[in-house]
Amino acid sequence: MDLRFLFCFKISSESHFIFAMMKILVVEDNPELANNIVTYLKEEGNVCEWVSTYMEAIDKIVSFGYEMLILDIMLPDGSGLDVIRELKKQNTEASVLIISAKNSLDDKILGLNLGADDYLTKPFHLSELHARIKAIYRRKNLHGKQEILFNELKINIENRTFLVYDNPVELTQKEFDLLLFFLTNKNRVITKQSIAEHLWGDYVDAYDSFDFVYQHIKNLRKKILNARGEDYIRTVYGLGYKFMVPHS
Amino acid sequence: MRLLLRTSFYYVLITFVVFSLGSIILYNIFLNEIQYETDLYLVERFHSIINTLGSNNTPNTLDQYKLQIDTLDYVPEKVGQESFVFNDTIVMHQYLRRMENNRKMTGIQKVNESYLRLTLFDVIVESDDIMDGVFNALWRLFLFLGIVMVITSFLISRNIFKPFNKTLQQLKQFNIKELRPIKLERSHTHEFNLMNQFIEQMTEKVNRDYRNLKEFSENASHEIQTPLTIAKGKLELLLQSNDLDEKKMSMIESAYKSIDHISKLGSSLTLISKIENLEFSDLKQIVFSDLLKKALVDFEELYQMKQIKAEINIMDDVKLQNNPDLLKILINNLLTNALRHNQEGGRLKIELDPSQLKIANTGKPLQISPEQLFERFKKDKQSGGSLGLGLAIVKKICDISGYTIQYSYNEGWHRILVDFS
Repeated sequence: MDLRFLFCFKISSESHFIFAMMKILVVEDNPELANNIVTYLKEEGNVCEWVSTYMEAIDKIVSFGYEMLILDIMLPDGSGLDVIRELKKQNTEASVLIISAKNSLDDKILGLNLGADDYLTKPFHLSELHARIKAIYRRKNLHGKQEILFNELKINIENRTFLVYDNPVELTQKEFDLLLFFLTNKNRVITKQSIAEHLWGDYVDAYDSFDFVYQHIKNLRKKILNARGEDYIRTVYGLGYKFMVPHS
Repeated sequence: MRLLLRTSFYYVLITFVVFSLGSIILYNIFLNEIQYETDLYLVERFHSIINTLGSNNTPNTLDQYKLQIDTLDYVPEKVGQESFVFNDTIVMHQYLRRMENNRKMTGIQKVNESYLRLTLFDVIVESDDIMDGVFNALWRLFLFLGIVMVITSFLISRNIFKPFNKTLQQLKQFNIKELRPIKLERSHTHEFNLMNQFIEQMTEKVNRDYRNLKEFSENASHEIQTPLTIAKGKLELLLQSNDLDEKKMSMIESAYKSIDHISKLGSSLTLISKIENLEFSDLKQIVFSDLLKKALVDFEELYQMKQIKAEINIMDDVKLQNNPDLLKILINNLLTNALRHNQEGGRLKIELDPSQLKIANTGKPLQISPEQLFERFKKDKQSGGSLGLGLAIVKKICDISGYTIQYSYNEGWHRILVDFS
């Protein structure tokens, strides 16, 4: 039962974009956390399964094919790192994203050396998790044609170029990252905190970066509007922003 | 003052007092003894003169130096032993022609039917001579004793205090963070052994407590991350529902903000303990100038937003041997700090040369004392929602990298200076 590459091309009257559905296995011993992840990822249209122990995880990866594993390092009956080792033995092309509360450099390096694709430290924003999953997916599966289309907007991830109605629009690095973050989390409220962390990482105090986030969003909006694009970004009272997909 | 010098000083002082009192006692004993001997001699002479007189010699023939014989024309009340009277007197010395202290004895004895009163004199040693003698003898003794005492106490205490000094040396090197309890040698002195035992137990306990506390705070800041992730995730999911009005949104927002604050706090504390545990130990040669310039590009937008005028003076090719992550955190926290405590339309100066980094920004004076600035959770009222850990992290990084950091405030300028040497 190999559901590895499963693409859905959803084409509506005025929008056409690639909607990639993935089969994801969440290996996390905390049911509540797993529930959050599964809910969020399912809402994004993915097929998501959850196991809580090392043994169950091994059972699953031996029996079924997954495109993505979201893996906690510390499991009640073993280490998530061993799951990666087993996975590599299976010779599958499944990607691995490690999530761990253990913010230790050693684990990170070890995990990445074993073949994990990325590493996320708890606590994380679900929108960030999703963005990372998408990034891994694009890196692995869309090799040459890393392009995202959304109505009149076109983003080329490889060249980092942005086109509105096929006219290039100059974006700063941060604005580009911001737009990409929005496009991977469309129709969702994204908090200021998660945007700040996505753009500046853990070490910048979010408190200072909120104004910064606001400023970048203002600039991004202005640039899209100036290129006669539509303003998709809505401010969600006090909390954050939402990239609205207009109802057809 | 050294313990040895101190005890020696007191010993000398006490010896001095004892010697002074001793000299008075000695003087009196000498005086009494001399008097006693003189008196004995005078009595002896008295008897020998009487004997001579008894064998038919006339008193006149015996009248000689230091002897006076009078014949009494009355019958005295006391005769012989009972009539002896001693006292001190002054007599002209025959040869020296000067007055000398003498002991005088008078006694009456019946010789050949007549009563004779004999007065005998003898020179006695003068009291100031005795005093001189006693003083001379004693100060030499005192000096000798003093020298011997100082030398011996120095030698002995050097030996006796050897274990004590060793203990002291080890205590000096004791570092609570090294988690290595002190092991001390056994000595021959009971008190030192007791002390060493106590110190060993104490340092072991201190180490254990420190380790427990450290582990606890590390575990605590680690363990809170999972529930915080859950809570955060639930709120994020809740946000996606469509039936939220502004009131509900604002409640979610404030819950979300608080959770975010705790989780930031947790990760900052974890970061501090990671720095303390030397987890950032892979050092590299880093071009600090480039790192700083790169960070300033990110921060530039922020400065512009606050309309802060920045004067930047970065020397090229300033290299440091350190962990790149640590230096990034250092720069980030310092720049964030300079920005946060700056005012709208303020100014900022950044200077870097091979020996130091200077960051100065305009702003209101501190409400807390400058010494507290680098402590955890010591934050100014002006800093609003900040964690109060940024500069504590900077300080930690400086400490483990061997840099010194200084803060000063002068005429509206906050200055932070990091010295790399």
